Amino acid sequence: MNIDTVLAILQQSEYDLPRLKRWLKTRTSASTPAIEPEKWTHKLSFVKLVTQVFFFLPLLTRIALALDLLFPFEWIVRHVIYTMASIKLGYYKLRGLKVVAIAGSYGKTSTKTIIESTYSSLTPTLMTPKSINTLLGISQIILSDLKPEHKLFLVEFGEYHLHDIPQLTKFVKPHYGILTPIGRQHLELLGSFKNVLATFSHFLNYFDKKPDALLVAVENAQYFSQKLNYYGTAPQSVFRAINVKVSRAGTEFECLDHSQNATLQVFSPLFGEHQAVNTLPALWLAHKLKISQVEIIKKLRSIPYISRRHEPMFLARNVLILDNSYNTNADSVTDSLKLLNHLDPARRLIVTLGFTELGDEAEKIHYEFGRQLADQVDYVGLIEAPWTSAIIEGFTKAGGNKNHIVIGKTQTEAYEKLQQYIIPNSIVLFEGGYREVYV
Amino acid sequence: MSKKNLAVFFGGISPEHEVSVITGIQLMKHVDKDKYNVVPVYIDKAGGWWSGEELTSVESYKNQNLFQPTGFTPFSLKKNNITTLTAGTSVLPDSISEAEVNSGKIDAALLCFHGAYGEAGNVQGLLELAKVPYQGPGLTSSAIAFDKIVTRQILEAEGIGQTPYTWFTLAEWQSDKSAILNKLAPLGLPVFVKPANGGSTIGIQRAQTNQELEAAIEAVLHYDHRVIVEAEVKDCIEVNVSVLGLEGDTKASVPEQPIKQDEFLSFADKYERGGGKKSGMASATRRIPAPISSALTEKLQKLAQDIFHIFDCSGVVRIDFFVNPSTEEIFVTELNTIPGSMSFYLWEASGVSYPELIDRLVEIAEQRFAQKEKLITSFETNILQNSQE
Repeated sequence: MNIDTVLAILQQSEYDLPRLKRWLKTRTSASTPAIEPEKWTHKLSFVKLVTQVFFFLPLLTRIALALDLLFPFEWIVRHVIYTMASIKLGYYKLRGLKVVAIAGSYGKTSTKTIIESTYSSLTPTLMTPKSINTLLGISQIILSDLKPEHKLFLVEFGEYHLHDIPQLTKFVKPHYGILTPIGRQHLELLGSFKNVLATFSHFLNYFDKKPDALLVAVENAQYFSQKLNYYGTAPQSVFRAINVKVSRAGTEFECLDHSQNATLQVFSPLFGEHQAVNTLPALWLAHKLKISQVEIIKKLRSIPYISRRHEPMFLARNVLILDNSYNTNADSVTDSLKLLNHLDPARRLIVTLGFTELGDEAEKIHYEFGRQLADQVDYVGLIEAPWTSAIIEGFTKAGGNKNHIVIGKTQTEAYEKLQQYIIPNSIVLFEGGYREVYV
Repeated sequence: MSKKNLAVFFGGISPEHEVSVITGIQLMKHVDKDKYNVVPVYIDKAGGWWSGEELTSVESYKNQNLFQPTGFTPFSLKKNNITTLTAGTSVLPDSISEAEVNSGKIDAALLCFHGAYGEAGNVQGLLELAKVPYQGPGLTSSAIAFDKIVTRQILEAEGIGQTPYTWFTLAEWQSDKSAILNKLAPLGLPVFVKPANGGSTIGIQRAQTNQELEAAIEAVLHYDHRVIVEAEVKDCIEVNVSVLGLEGDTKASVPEQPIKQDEFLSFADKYERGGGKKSGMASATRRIPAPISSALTEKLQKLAQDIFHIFDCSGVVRIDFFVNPSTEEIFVTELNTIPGSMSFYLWEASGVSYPELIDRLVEIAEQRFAQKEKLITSFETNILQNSQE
């Protein structure tokens, strides 16, 4: 297999060698198109150099050697960065900076981006960009982008290892916390759902003494026994979205703010009930930061679309593309399919890879996904993956027409094969498959 | 039930001639042929009138000199002299037989002109004189709505929100440019420079610097001797609403947001190899419904209907706005008394098919005509008898 492709996967796997090994087991050169790494960092360039110098060794041995050689140097650099970032963050907090941490399995980036988009013109705000959510990434952002004028810092927490959340919480010491829904997304990385829950429990424990500084997605109520402030559509939510109406104009709903006994009428151009729910933490935070909710509601009315999170593209003949390709998982896909049906298109089409990071449950979950697709979409474009056959099996067993499935090696190829089935007023949903196509 | 004779007028002496041809042909394609005999009436770029079946196809206009087209059947105003036209007089071309049209009378005319003459009241006046029912608006409404300066003065008098503007004439510009530029200064930059009379976006310039402003004014003066300059309002999006009906019975459409091609990353850029040549999946030029709340939508629809009433409109009209979705402020920009494609796409999205829209326009034409017929147009007098010269 092409060395650059392997290095691209190594980079996407956060330099986790066992993950790379697992991926290589499922792939052959023939089934994998050559790809370039997202960015040629110094680290990746060094790994490539070592693999070229020691060309006579097996590839994985060369990569392991490069990573071992880097380790001492990297350890020192990392700890210098952590220390400097920690000091800088602590100093700015003393000067009044408020830090909000956002953790959870899915919905983190949308929640964070909605807060940033609505608050940035009201108070100087910085958020960790895109999906930068590791200790090193956050530290680098603190050092490079955090300025004395910032009053609000939104930090997304990633959970790749069991110790990540406790480590990040200890490092950032947030004033406020938001826990988005917990799901099965990181089963492969964290080993079991029990471990997934354990890692998020650390986040909750941090707010034990200040429960009002924490807002938790109501979907998580089933996992925790303590009394928490929930948000969502279920009745026990302190911040609750009701009467959600989704149309091609956007999403309209009423927010019941039980903390103030208030009902707020909210419109946002973002699509879907899940985006209405992702909006609730922005309204909750307004109280905490003493910002008018009315001002936040005004900003929500013209909030920009979030890149590759049901980001729309409007085509001729009233064809709508909903690009949710950045990320998907077995739990959040339900929101996407619900949105597709809410918008009531003439034909429902999907381009998807399926889900990554599912470990041993991959076959079973993808079979179920296939069944779900048979019920809720008309045509499917699959991006080739080890679990493609499981999706097809589920689809056909549930009564789906096999002729309504096309397969491509890449997202582009799958979409191009699907185009013949697009009719006026169709909606094409790109669900996952952007970055993690090869992982 | 016998079929009605429906004349469809389009073309005209206007920079928007071609757009009008498309609107006319589109409309004729959607006419319910079981209900109507379609009589195309095409006015070429030089003002010649033509009719005939071939005018219903866009192919007939390709590779033609539209100032002097060939192969069409002349529609002779000499033969059907306007001064002798009365209700029921045939204005049909010779090529359409009596048998085909049942009678020579035009039951209704639908005007599909855009721009000068056709949209500005001239043809409307002609048809009023000839007593041919048409969808409206009438002569006065068409003329004032076509003039952006007069439109704004009326809106101002009615207390309806609009963007800051100022206007001047060619003579004023030529006599003292710096005085005009001083007068424009409070508007700030960027501004839109527009001819007072002109539809579509033809002739409209956006100026970001003083140099660009001067150049834009010079360019716009080629289209009209009166120029209007409008301030650009920040954080606004363009939203259009169509109103259909006749005084006392109007309906507003869902709103649309026109999309500029450079506004979003094109689909082809993002997803297709080879720039979308394979699929022909062009980006949309409008978004229906516009991305605004239902409260703002209702506010806009109500305002559109109020404006329709103030300008005594009838038929199908499109009113263009700038709105700030956050603050929900609304600024009226202009009225289109004969909108491109008759705004059929807005009506389809509002649950009215194109054939139903045509039916409604014919009904409006007939109602308008019947209302006019009831008006007193002559008065018993012996002035002439007693006149001594």
